[in-house]
Amino acid sequence: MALAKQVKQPLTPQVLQDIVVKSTPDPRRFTASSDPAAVTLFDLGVVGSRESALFVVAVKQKLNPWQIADSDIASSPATTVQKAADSLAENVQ
Amino acid sequence: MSSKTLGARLFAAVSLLFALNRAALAADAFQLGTTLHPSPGVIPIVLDLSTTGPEPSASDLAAYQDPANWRILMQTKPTDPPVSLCDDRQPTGVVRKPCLSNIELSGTQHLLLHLTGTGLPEGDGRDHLWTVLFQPPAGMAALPVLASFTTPIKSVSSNPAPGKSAAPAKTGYFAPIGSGDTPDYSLSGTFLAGGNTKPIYTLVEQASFYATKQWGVLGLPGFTSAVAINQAAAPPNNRTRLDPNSISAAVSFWRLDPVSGGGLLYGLITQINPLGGEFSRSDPSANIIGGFNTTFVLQRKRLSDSAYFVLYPLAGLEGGRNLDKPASIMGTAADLSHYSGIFRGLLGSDAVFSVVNTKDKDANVFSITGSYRMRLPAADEPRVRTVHGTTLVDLTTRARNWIEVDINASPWSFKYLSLNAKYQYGSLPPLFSLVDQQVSFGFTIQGKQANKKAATSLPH
Repeated sequence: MALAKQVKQPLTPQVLQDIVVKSTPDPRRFTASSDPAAVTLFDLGVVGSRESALFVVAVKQKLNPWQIADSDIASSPATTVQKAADSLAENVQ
Repeated sequence: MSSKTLGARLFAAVSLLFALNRAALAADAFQLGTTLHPSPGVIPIVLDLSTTGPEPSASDLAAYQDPANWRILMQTKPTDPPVSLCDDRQPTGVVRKPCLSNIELSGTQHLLLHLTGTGLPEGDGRDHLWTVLFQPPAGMAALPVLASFTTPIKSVSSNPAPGKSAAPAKTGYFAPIGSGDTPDYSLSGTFLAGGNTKPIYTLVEQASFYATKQWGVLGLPGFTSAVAINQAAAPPNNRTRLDPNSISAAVSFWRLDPVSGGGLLYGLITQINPLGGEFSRSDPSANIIGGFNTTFVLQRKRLSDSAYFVLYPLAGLEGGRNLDKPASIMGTAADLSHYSGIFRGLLGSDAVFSVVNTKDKDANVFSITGSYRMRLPAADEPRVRTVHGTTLVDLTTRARNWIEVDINASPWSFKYLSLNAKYQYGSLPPLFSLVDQQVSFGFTIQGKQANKKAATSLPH
């Protein structure tokens, strides 16, 4: 049986920001009035290497069928939501 | 001081404050950034230009949204001549030049330049180079801004083969410890000197290295090791020597399974050890061991902007076989003839309290990490204790506990080195020699593997 080809959704800035926020442990801390250039992944619960590794896997799952190398996803606690979203926009294939 | 001089000084001070306030306001004003990239998968092409600050005024927004204020260059390759878009001076012939159809402010961090017209490249434009220039009209309090996209992605339309990485890793193997990081390799030691005893050295080595490519459903292959030397040594000691009491090494696979939803459980990290060994050199003993353990990564408890507490419960199983057993342990005869099969439950938890640098949240300033492991043997295994100078060895299924508390302070910027206080109590395989309330202070040299995928702690 032929597998249906998954359609790549357009990755607008808002879509990428949503993927980043929803992949963190505590997405509810990011509200409509939050500044993505000021809120860091640390603020959303990515406090250490375990969370950072899970964040990368969560982002990749949400991006599917888009592909991206783990090391191209900005995921350290000090990374802002904006920087993380930009790292996706610049590297997804 | 005359009232005139005072007035002049007051005026100067107020002017300075006003100027500083204007500068602060300017820093908070809307500004175009220099980060530019085409939005992935968006056709026709949309160039995403970063911005900072709050929304601009209506008049400024109108200027930003006027295509006449923009110049856009496109190149297929860095060596190719650029094509100017939206430029009336270019001969257009019968084919209309692609141009800006819409300029849209998206959120507060993006200005989206929608391109339209024939002559645009196929796809989302990320396989081309782009340069944009904003030229503010006369009367607008802004400077020209130039932004470019110079790292085109090759063959955007094709996906890499399953299991193949889309781009090479950009980071190396070694990096300093950051916020909440468990070191991937660490070496710490103590030196004890006193009357009526030879010096006692203790050393603890831990290391874990991982491949950067997945092995299908098994996860990431890697290698872990832990060596504890002289952990059971206590003064008085009549001979200085280095005896590894507990050496463990294993081929490991790591699986990471995030759980979405923002609930208490953020994800699971499973370590599968198909093949490993546990060794002791001081009283030669060796076990071949396999097993798995799963760490439950829970939501952190936020204590302040820079401090948090988090728990990582763990459960697993270990099974294997004893290969080599000593006839005596620490000079005491031991009958370990019934010691053969090994099957243990493993329970425990790590707990982390950490304070990070408020300006750089990757930098750990202070942390307390507690680890507890309880091994529950289903079959008899040796247990070694020293009571009033007498070594006692028995075979039992009683639970074996291991507690370790690390206090790390790293107030300086060189994060490979930290001040360290360590507390240890309990016993480790294979012989489960009791380490009785050992406290040490010193420096720890530590680091992490920068390009690894799975970030995990070493189970004790």
